[in-house]
Amino acid sequence: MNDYRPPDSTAQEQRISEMLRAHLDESVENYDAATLSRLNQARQHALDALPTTRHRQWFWPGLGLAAAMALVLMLSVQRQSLTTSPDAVGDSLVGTQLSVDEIALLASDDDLEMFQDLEFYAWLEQQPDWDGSSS
Amino acid sequence: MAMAEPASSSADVQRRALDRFLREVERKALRMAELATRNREDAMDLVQEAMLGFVRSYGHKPNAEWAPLFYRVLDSRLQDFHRRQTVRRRWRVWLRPAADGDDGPDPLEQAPTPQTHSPSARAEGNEAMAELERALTLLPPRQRQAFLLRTWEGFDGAMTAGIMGCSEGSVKTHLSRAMHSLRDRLEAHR
Repeated sequence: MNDYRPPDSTAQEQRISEMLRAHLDESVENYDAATLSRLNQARQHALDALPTTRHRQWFWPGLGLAAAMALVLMLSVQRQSLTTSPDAVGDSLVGTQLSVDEIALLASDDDLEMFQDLEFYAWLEQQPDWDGSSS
Repeated sequence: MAMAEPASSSADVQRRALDRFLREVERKALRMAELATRNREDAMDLVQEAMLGFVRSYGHKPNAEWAPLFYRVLDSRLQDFHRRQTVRRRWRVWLRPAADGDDGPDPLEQAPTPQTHSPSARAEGNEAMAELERALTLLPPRQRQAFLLRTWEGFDGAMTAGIMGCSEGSVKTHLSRAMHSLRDRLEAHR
């Protein structure tokens, strides 16, 4: 990569950044009433989804997971009752293990993003200097 | 009934705090989404999804962590949008290869910048500003996002990397390329 920059490039970049920042700041102050009203509706809709307690946030995914596991257990028992072969029982258990993993993921579809973000959240918690004053 | 009051009051306080926070970031989030989608309706949908996802997954986290977490969710929604657009374009090309040709212009690139919101830019005929904004919309999505998070939102390099789910080095590269493109565009305009 060519790293050469003309001597005044940093000043020019700073000027471009300042121009765009000012322009963008001004633009968000000029949204029309209809847009602001829709933003307000979106915000209220989101706030209505606020879990009232931590218990409630995990209730529905937990219920889904419990139902899925009960179904897998039932199918597993049913399959074992149909065969007496030790090999077949082993196959059945392997199949059950895979199903539990897959169904757990499907049952908690809404929280997939949270699982994906766990690493980011762990990292964020280790940032002692972050005061949330960026915006 | 008296026992339920503290919980209810605590929930109200949290709701008010979240309301205040979302009110602070919603306009910038919408603008960011507009620059990415070049469509007000799509942008509004993405911001609504981001608010919902943020409140559901992170509303209970400490207030000081809300901003990076919210932008993390929004960034994820924007990336999903771009992935869907790419897949749709591929399907369109695959379904109509002979009629339209594979090398036709990207409809997104042909789309006008949705609106120039700034009255001063319109009134003074600030063409350079309009050109810069257009250049911003034409940047590759990751470059534009790095520029907006660093320059407009004011996140530092490490936090921007965390929000974008990439390394700090990648953020520097995206930012450097974005600045280069914007500078070239401005110089070409003169």
